[in-house]
Amino acid sequence: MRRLLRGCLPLTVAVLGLLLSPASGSASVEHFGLGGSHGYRISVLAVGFSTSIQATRAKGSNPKRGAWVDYIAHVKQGGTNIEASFGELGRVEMRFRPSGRVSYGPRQRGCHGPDRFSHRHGVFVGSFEFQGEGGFTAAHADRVKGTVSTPDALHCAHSGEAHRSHPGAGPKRTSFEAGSRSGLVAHYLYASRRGDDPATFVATAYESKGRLGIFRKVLARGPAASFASDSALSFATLEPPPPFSGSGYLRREASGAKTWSGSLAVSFPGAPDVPLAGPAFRTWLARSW
Amino acid sequence: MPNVRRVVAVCALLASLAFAGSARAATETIAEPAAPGFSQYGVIFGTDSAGERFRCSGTSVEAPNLSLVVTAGHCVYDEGRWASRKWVFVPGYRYGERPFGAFVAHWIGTTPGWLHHENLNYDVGMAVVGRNERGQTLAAAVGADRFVSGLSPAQDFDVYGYPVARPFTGATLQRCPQVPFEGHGFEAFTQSGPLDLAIPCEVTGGASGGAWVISGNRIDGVTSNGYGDDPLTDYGPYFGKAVARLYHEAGRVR
Repeated sequence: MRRLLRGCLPLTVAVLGLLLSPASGSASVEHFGLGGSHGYRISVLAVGFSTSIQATRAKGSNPKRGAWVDYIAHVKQGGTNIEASFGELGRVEMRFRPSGRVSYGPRQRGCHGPDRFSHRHGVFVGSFEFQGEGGFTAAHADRVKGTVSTPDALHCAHSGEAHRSHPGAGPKRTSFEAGSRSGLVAHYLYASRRGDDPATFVATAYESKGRLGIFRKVLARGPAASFASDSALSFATLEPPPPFSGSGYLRREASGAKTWSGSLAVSFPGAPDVPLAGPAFRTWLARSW
Repeated sequence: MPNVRRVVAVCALLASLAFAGSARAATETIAEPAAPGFSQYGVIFGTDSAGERFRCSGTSVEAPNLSLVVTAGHCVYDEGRWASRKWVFVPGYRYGERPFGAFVAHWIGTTPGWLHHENLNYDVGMAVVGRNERGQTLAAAVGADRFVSGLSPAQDFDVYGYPVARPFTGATLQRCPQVPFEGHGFEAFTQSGPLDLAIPCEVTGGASGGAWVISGNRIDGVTSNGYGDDPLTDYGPYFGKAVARLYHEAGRVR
């Protein structure tokens, strides 16, 4: 009985990481970054088959709140130039001019072929024009610093557990997930709280529009009371901080039937007021043991 | 970030609930799949090299060897394993009947993109089959659709297949008539190769490899995959250069 079922995309999947999969077949990754309007950071990354523009509004490498959007154009690249159209959102036509400076990433063990990344530094020159949907940010450049990294991926063996849990240690973690997919658009919500710690909320959206793939994510933290539930997991109430708005209520009847309702919505970059509650969503409420 | 196990658990939950809350799309049952115009479509019964049995859909397609079946890549090669020699195409299958007999594959192949990376943008497979119990070639017995490639993705498709997972039974041929191209799946953008195609058609397991037909008898795609939480959308690879190369290679196999 075959028909492949695609897996749900992890809620906080790094799209750029997906683009750097071994299947890319590209020899190098071209990248440059610059500032955009309204506090966004713009990053352009090209592999053999795709070019993405990422607009980010977050601080630090491990932010507790922020907003991201990736626009992915599926185009073939040649050499170290970046040429891609993003339709109404803009266009990249940049050529790489190396400065001669090369840096190297750390060596990794057990690799097939190269065991580290090499980064050639230089400048991209040409034309870059970008405006996010509805003008939430914009950027343009004709000359910007950047890098060309090779290879596009390392094929290295990894050993040991990436994560180890200690059941029973410390306060229990309660988590809630909701997902909805309709045609080419999917929305997911994840909430988590451990004891009286602040609650974490993540909302993601995946969609394709014509020749563009679009991935959006927001991350927010709220007080413990913004994600309430009971030990029997008979209900959950979510009232996350901005860019979320409204509230969501999960009720589980004795029969096991669930209802997920309310006014909960989120404003992604370029996609304001996206509903996150209602019967279209499938939900999951759990507690660690 | 949820751990992998939790994501898988949610996926399983969503998949199990998928049919509970959704309305059926306009899938129609073909009562006489052995009739002319339908007999080129059939069921594939296979066993992989680990002994696991599977079921797919396939189509007899015009080729110099008169014996070519087009299907999905994962119906001939899946998770690092080729299908074994127990790979049988039964055209016109209906309620266990085999009106044209069975055609056993002696050659199977897939695209490099599927073989090496299991890239869904290249999920196409082909098989060359022997003669049936009556000594007929496949094309002589049931006819064949015409292979086309390199066309615009913006087509209206008749989608055929034998879905067997709920709410279907796999007993006879199903068709989604004249469904339009809707766009590309998001994940297609994260893989190399031509972007896949999405269409509004409710099919389930067993429909893999089923034909996407344009202009009555031209096969321009096959069913590949779908999401558990959206059973109403079907995804399949674009028939481009890699698929055309596979077709020309398979069509010459004797």
